[in-house]
Amino acid sequence: MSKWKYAKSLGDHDDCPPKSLRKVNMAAYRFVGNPIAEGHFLPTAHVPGARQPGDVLRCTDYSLSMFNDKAKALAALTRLLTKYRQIANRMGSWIGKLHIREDDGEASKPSRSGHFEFFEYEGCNLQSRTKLAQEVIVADDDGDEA
Amino acid sequence: MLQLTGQSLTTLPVTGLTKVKDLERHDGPLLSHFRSDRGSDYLYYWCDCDAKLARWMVLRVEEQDILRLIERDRTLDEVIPSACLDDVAYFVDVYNQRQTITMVALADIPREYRPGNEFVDVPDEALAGELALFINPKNDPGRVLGLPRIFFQVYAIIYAVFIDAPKKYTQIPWQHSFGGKRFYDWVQDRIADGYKPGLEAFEFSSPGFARFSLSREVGDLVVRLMENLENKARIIGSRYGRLERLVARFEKAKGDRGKEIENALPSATTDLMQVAGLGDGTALSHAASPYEGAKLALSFVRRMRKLRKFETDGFVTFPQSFLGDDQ
Repeated sequence: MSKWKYAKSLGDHDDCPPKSLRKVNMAAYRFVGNPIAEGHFLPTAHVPGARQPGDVLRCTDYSLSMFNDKAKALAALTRLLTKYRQIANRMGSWIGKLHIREDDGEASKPSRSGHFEFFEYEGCNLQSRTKLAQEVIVADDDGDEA
Repeated sequence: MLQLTGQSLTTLPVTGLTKVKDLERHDGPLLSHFRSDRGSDYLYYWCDCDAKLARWMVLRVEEQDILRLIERDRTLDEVIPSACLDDVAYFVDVYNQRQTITMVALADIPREYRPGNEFVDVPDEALAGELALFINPKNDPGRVLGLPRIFFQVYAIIYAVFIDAPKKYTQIPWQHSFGGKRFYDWVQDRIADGYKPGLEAFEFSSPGFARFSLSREVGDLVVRLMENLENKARIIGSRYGRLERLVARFEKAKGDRGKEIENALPSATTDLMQVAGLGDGTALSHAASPYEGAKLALSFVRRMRKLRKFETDGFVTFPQSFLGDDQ
């Protein structure tokens, strides 16, 4: 039996998950809502309307976006909330903190912005171990809370 | 989900929309470039969702506005929805395999669906293989027509210094009394497939753009070295002048005096290459002589300054997006 959570779907794509992934043991940060719900830990492929009509699935649609640094996660979420004012409806407006263990799954190499993709192993339940760390509030153009 | 004031449509009144690339992603696409089968460019902008459906805003824009988003010349609010070419935008509500379409006048787009003042965080795959420079011919269009040639020469210099490092330089102009064009044609011909630059589009208007296909890694280096030329203009000028004077003295000197000056050329050449951002000078270690190495370094910096002058004279704007800056 495959170790991956979405093994059947991953097999539909070449080099998926990528061989460059690594096991990690680290603190990680993910955008979540309050309260933290199962829906905040669904990969794109399982989120209704997360892709445009006619768009094709890709390998990373079965991974979870995370950050390796709280400040970078905060900066990214602040920018997203500014550009997509209703994005909290999709991914929340909180930074959630969790500890990823080697038996949870495997991670891509973080980009300069601290972002990485995380592919879960079968049985992984990150929701139960995630704690709310910080809420992001973005003022709109009038200075009111968005 | 917010109520929209508009007209329901049975289908999107655009045929053959296919995705060109995602311009921003986080757990899926948030902003994407689509093109119709008539060659018109559209943006799909994520604006809302609930438990069951997601809402996208679709609007027709100029290709140039998309390039300016990618290269961080415009923030998202400067394009959506103000750069829309039509008086309406289309809202597509997607649920399961179905969708409903609402056509909304731009003035009726809810405030909550208008982005704030921020640049798009473009993924590396959206930058790879392309780079756009924004042009403003102003009252000297002939000058701007010369931009691609100089850009290709500087790109070739960067490629030669950082990737190719030729074991021997030929077609040296000052040896054979022909101009620099033949030398730079030789340098450009050495560029390997996968790195070769090309001019894909040149919209000659004010404002306009030049879109190049190239190695973005090398293209980014060109842009960063233009910044370096500005930031270190004084010291680059000083070292350029010093090397230029040494070369002039060498050309006039005879015998032992010439030898003495020749021995000073390599370090002055390295000093110039380093401060100009052209590595540590080892790229010219295979030059036939210290004199040749010095002349090549001077020529490289002159070409870079020529490209830079397009920007200082207001004819070109260089991009601000770089590989590795993605989310």
